[in-house]
Amino acid sequence: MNYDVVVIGAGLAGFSAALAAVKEGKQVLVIAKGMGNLYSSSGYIDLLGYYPTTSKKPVVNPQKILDSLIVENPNHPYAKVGKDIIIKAFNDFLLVSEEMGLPYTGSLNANMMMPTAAGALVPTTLYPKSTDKKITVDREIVVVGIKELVDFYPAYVAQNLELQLGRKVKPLWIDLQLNISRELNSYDLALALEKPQVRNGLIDQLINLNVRDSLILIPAVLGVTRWQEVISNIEQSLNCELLEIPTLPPSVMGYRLAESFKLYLKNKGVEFIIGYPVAYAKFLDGYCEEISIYTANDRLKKIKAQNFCLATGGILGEGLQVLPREIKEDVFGLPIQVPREYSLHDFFSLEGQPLSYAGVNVNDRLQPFDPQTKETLLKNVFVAGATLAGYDPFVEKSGNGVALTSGYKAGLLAAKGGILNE
Amino acid sequence: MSNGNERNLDHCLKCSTCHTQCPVVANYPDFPGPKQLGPELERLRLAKGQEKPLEIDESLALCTNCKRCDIACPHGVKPSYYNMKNKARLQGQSISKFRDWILAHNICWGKIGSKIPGLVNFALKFPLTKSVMGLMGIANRDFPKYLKQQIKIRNSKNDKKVLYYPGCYASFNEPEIIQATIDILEAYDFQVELASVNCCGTPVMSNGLLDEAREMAIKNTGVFLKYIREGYKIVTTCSSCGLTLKEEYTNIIPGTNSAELKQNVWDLFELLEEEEILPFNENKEKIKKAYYHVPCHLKAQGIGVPAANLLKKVAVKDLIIEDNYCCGIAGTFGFKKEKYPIAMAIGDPLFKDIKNSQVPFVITDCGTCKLQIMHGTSVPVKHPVVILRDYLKNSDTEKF
Amino acid sequence: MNNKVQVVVIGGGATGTGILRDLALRGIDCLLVEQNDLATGTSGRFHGLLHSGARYVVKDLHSAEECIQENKILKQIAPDCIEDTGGMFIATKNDDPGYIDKWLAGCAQAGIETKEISPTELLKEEPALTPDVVKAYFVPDAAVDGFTLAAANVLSAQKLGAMARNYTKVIGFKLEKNKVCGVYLKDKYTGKEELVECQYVINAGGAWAGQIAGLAGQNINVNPDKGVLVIFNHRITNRVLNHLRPPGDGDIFVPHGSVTVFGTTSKVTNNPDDTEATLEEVLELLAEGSNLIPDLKNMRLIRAFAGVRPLYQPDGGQLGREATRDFTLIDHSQLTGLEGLVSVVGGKLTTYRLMAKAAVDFVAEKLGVDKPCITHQEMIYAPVPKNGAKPGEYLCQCEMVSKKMLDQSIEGKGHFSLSDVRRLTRLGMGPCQGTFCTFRATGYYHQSRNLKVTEANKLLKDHIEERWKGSKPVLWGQQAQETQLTRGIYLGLLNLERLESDNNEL
Repeated sequence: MNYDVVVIGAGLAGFSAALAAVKEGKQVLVIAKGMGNLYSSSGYIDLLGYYPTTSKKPVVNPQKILDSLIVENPNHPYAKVGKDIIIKAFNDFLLVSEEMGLPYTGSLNANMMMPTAAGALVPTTLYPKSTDKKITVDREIVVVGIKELVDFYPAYVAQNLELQLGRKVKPLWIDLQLNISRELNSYDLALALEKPQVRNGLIDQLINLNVRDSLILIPAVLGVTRWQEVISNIEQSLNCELLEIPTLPPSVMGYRLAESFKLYLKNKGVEFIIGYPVAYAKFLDGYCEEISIYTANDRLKKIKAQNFCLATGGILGEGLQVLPREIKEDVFGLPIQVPREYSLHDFFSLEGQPLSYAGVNVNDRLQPFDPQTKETLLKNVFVAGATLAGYDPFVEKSGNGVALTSGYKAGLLAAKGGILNE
Repeated sequence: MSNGNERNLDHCLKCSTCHTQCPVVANYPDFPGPKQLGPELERLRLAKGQEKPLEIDESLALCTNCKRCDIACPHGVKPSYYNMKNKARLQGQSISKFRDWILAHNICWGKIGSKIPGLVNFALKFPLTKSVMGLMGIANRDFPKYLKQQIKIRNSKNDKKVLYYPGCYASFNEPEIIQATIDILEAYDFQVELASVNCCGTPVMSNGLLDEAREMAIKNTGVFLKYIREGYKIVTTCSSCGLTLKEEYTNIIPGTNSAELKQNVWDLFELLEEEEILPFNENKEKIKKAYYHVPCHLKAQGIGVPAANLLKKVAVKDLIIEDNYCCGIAGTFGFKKEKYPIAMAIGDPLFKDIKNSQVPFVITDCGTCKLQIMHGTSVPVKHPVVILRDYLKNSDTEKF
Repeated sequence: MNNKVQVVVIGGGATGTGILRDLALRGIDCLLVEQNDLATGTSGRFHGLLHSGARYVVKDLHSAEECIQENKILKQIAPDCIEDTGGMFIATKNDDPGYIDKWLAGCAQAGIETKEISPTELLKEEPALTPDVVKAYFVPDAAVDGFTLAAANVLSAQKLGAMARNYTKVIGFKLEKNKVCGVYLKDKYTGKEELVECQYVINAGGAWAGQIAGLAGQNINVNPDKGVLVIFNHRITNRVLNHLRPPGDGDIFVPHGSVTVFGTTSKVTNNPDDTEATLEEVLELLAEGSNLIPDLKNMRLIRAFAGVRPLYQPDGGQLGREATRDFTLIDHSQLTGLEGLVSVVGGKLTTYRLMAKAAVDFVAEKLGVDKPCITHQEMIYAPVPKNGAKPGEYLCQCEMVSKKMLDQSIEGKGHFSLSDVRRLTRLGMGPCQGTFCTFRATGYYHQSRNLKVTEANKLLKDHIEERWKGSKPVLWGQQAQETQLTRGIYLGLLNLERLESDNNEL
């Protein structure tokens, strides 16, 4: 098998890299050990939520604050990607999201505060158009929980929101009476609500609860693929605005993004082999010549490419393997600086955890380099996403932003042989 | 807890990504899904000493073993491994044991109507049986006898030696696949032998008859190994047979034999992809448009879509390659009365996609996928070898 | 509340709760106070092994005899708290064969039934074991749930009118004429202090007994001895596994519900609150355990913690592993002339009932009560039975905890933490370590208990922090991934770190 670009990893960074490369007309293969972590994510593309992470106030204008971040944190992935490409990646994604049938919106100059399933407000930059509803509207705000769903508690959300908004938020429960004899997650309910009779049941109950004309916050369960139909059907029936809140995994908003993006890439001719990790890589003079995966029969399948993108994720995505005193990057065996302590702080500390900052060090071309010798290790490998060192996405709220932008740059570089003409 | 699969429940983080990829979950809400039935409950089964199945294990009967969960898992868990294992433990008490037994054996040995005539009526009750019966009819003969009379093998000696294992579907229902495969292999200069072994055991296994599957696996592995040690590669043209030889045997008969076999099994197109020659007629007019359905068990092999790639290169101008949907048949699953509606619901998005794409025919590697797609769409379905054989450089002389 | 009782029991571990129940069964008016929740000290921080006594037969025959006697009684009276897994002792080719004979003789003498099984047969039943087994014996060990045991004792005592207060710390004694006549208490939730008068105080503070006695000016030599334990994600063996050799580090595996508890180490510490395990200690344990379970290092660890043995050292006694596992009743009037206080020290969970009996026999005589101990005859029951929910009612799917169990676990409680709930239900004790169920339980209680939202936020954060504490020493492999998922959910998705929560000592 021979490709122009092989992307390793099937999360947002990998998809973004594949997109950038295929748009340059390249033959692209995505290989991955399994599906990426988009299925557990909110589906928001957050550029930067808090800077510095210990700041009490959210970032208002992320594009503006990028300048200081890049100067002050030269090891942050955003510093490696650069502001111009960050902006380009975001804008391109907005266009592509329209084409994939899951349009996103938002501005790099203004973070949007989105309610979370705990009733906190989280700053985010791009979000599905269907969630483009401001929590600060004059309408009455109602939080609706669904009895069958164990992952959403409307009173808890409502009261935390009240603390922050300083206004009344009304919690309500509805019971879809699905009579299914197991615990349902968001994905299950999203499937159920695609059925008109279930949806009508929901609409009838909402009408009875007298929530016409309100802004209704509801867990993101309004359809798996036919969400547009589900949402507009309910909104029209009630003359209300519906704002979906992303839930605990499996997250339907993450699912929609993952599936739409994957399908879009397939239609653009990107090939996928998912389910098997890279077993070994062959190098020559600072280049990766080919990689192999173990297929179902433990036989190595060789895959050659001109350029590779490494987007296997961080610790959670298993791009980084944590051992008691060592952290390993398994695909190319890239060196990782091990923090002296893996965890220093309380779980909820705004500082983040040292372990989370660990990753592959790269130069401005996203090529891996040795932090000690400053030597570029592989010239045709471009690293993206959570595999990168220098940030803790969870306290900073930058996970999907770093994935999207670094993936985009890695894909472009891979398509153009490592040189970008700006 | 000695082998890797037994312990891979430790890798589950409960993210439920597998759950979102399960075709049964998507169409039958009561099904608990791969995360719960697999790694989650396996911990609790271990805690109970595994003597008694859990109450919820009854729903294991609904697992189609499509393996979409296995390849979806970001952390390498294989829920289907636990499902197969625990299905077997349940089999002892299943009410539909007899029917499952019949189906497990009908599909693989094709003996309907011949040796146990009483079963015909029984089998007629199943929704898909009409089309199946037609196909089964071909199967009223003994396997080796049929091969001797009909199949032409050139038998020229070559260093590249292949033992072709056609599997039950091709043998009993569509021998044309066998001849086409031999023609293609020979065009690639392989010395071909036809394997005279029985069913690989897939249907027996997915019906939970693990002991029997084990026996078959041991017997078959013995035959295959004899050839492998003489330098043969084992080639399959059925995705499910291929996956079973590659993966399932090492689960049900772990050890050095199954490991050696595993290493030497090839999907036909996986093998051809490694070859440098391309013995096809490039001047022949290409088929304008066709639809290629990637069977779940091909997807699970991790070899990509070598047949589709070759089809695109040689025979079809506009080939729609689809790997998003499961057809729903899952071997014998869709033949069971209580599961028929689920099987059809699972296949529905695929049927719609096929109908919408307005293709003259569908191409797929798997025999039961073929039955299901024809049943759900009335569009003809062909095996890739049957198409590609016609594009061989000297195809006329080799015509079956 | 009633500010006068006959006896105050200090310490809500197995011993203290056993004493409370024994007192109640003899009709003595009593109150138990515990500075945290029940069984949060050593009774909840051990390997969960109900000893057959076989571990002690060579060195401490008396303890062994007590163990087997109590083992049989507890299996009878507390089936809810015990899983009768059986146990096995295995010797490998590297072990001293001479020890086996001494051990067999000891078992025979103590009356502990042993049954030999061939290594081949054993490996079929327990495939995780090393193939190096040369000798193996079955013994009547079992797994015991210290949390449930303490709670079951209290429940049984409460039904007879006894009282128990958790999160209540003893801050001083009321002394009159060299006699203890009351205790000063502080409620950790409200911060309120009060006096409870009594005729007698039983100090069952375990590793904290020395600190407590110190409040009354008494000096007793309790030597806390730290033992590190780890928990594996799944059940590795079906039976309790002991290494057939002189007791040492890392030689006991106890299957506990869906997990395996493995330990332990022995290190003298000055601080009974020293319950954090370090990475080094965990790695040493794993290296040792790999001799019995070769694949151990590849198995998923879900947490590590330490417990503190309340070893008592009479003058000139031994420390650490050499110290006696026997218990001692200290009559302070004999020691310093202080009346009204007795301390129970040393011992181990398996013999808690005997310790309680000895203490209550002593106090009953002082109080002129002549009812005999009947704690070996009356059954005790778990406050939260592990059954009765239909599919669809579970909030924790790792450990199958239902809404009903959540309700039962806090019945009659004013304030509680999710850790209190966890100890009675196993909520959050599975592989995800509370990642999913903490959020669900918070949402559920917030509504059903009508909690203030800041209180609910505290409930959630405290539980996640508590689970995090145990994950830190095993932050590699799958648990490193799992904690990143937890962080992804609570910080990334929910932004919970930014939410306001209550502040109190609970």
